[in-house]
Amino acid sequence: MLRFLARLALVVAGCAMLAGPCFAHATLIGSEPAESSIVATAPGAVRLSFNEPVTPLAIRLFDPAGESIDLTPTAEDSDLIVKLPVARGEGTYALSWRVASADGHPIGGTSTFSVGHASRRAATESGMSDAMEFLIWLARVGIYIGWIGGVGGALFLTIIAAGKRPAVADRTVAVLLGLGAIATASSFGLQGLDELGKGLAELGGTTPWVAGLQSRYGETLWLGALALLLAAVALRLSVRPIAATVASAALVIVAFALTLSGHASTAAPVWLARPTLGLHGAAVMVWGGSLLPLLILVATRQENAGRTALRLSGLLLPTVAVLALTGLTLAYLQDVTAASLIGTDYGRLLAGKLVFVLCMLAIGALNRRILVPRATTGGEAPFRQLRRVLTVDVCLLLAVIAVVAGWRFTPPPRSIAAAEAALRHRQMLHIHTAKGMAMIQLTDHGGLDIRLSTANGRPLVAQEVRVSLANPAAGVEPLQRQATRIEDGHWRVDGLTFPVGGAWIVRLNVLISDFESLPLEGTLTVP
Amino acid sequence: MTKTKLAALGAAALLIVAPVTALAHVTLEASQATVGSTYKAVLRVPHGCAGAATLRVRVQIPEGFIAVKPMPKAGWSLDLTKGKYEQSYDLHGAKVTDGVKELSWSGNLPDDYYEEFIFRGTLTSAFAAGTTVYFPVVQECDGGKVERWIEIPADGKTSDDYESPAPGVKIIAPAK
Repeated sequence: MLRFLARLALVVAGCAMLAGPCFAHATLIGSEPAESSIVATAPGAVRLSFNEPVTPLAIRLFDPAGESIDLTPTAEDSDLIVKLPVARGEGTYALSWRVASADGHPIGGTSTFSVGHASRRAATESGMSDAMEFLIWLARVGIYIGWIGGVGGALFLTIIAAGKRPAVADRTVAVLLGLGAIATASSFGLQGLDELGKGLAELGGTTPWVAGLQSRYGETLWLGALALLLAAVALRLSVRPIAATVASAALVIVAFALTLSGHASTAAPVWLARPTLGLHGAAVMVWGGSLLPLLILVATRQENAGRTALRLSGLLLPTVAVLALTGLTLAYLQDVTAASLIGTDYGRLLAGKLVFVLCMLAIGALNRRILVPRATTGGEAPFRQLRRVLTVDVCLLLAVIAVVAGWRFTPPPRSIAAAEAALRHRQMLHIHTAKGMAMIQLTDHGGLDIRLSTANGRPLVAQEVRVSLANPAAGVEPLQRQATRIEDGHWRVDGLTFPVGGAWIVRLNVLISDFESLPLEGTLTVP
Repeated sequence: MTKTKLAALGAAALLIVAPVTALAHVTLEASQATVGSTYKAVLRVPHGCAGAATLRVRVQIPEGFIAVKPMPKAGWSLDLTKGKYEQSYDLHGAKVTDGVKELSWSGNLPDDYYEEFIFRGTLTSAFAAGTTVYFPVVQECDGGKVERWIEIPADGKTSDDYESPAPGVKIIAPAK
């Protein structure tokens, strides 16, 4: 037996050594559906045609969602027929195959085709539904109303408003505090859902609530709720100095709570960002909180309304100065530029906010210069005018709150820039060799941008560039593509589909002349 | 265990372990040659380009391989591209400064057939013993298909590491 084996080994080895065409590699000579083609309906099977009979080793199909399934083909002469499972939706499919040729040499490749239309792999997006986004925004608005209108309003009524105040003002502020409390309570659950990446249907369970309570934003919510409570207490206290103290404490607590979470609290340097944010919040509460109660004082024709408005006007100038200064500082820390005011969602919200705030400032100036001095002298007409203007002011404040609540969903320019830079860095591949260099980058629309240069940095002139992409870890055999020349040293591959993300081995074969090629190889991270 | 058994086991093991050599590639028949000798290159073309018939075989003559003459082939027309060498070489006492830089045979070789293309030349002392001389080959086929056997192994690699290696011949020291 052993002797037979030895003889067999010698015969085979001899054949291998002597004969040129004794065996030959198999090559794929075609596929049906054709490579990169788009078919109207899902084919029942894929036919891979080789130049000689092959033995299938591994056949794996990647569907448009990136899910993979191993398939067993049937052989038909030198073709392999791969029966596809029931349709898995429209988009681009990739069939990775690995076969053995007659000489035992394994070869592999990946064939792609699309059903209906070409697609990129479905990106993993945040699963937040519109309804949930709206509820989170609404809760934010409610909390701001509670803090500005409620806590700020209590401060106004207990400190700034002189003398007797109408019960309706107290009740209104109390309602705003209540609104804030309801919004705060629901925010715990919504925040939890968002952090866990779950849908609204899960709001009934305890897990999102627990997660919300433990979150960073949870700390802000807790302190905010405490401030709402203190403000409500301040309204009930009859001893004025004590009420004023309690209301001030509520204001300070909200200002502190603001610094515990959110984009602005994490901007560098933190020692500057946090106090600035707190001051900004406090100034908003003083100014914004006084508008509605003052409107009520004016509307109910309180005899002290004129005097109160006058006192408030005096206070407003330093408050606005603080608002402007802190606002500008925060914008600077968030890397806001003129371009980002238009180019980013964050910037657009800021621009909207600024427009409303400028209107409010104009009204404040109007009040201070003309309407308030006139109202103090008495008379019916100035009061009516003041009432109208204050109503507009309150509406503008609401608009500002609505806009600011939208910031919950938009990263500031500084975060966008950082995220983009990190992504670019990860998705960029540099290959350096003694003969040449390549810089390969994923493009936004599923392609590769390739820059080739010689060792001394000049554009590398090439006849053709072949690109091979493989992901051995995911079992994807090489996808072969020919790059298109844009200009000397700049090539592109379009319409690529990466069946899966992860580390892809990129091999470039740069044909410099008929007889000279430059191989370049590296690993590219595909999201 | 007898010696025969050991030998058998060894042969079997060798067969299993030995890498599958590049049999489907365009190769040279004589895989080694002596420094300064005349080398007869037999280029073996085992198949077309992915099933397509071969219409043209082009060989780039490496610098240092001089006095090149191709062997005519029935049914095939020959083209020689001549040019200046990078340096002058000494051939039997005469200075040689130019010669054949590229050879090409044009004809038709169906994918099912095997063919050999022959040329001869002198390996100058520009090639030291232990190095390998590569003859990059471009195989042009029907339908504009092209196979390029032009990959020259980087340091630390061998032809086996490449898809389409250039055929090469190893230079050895003269036996004494």
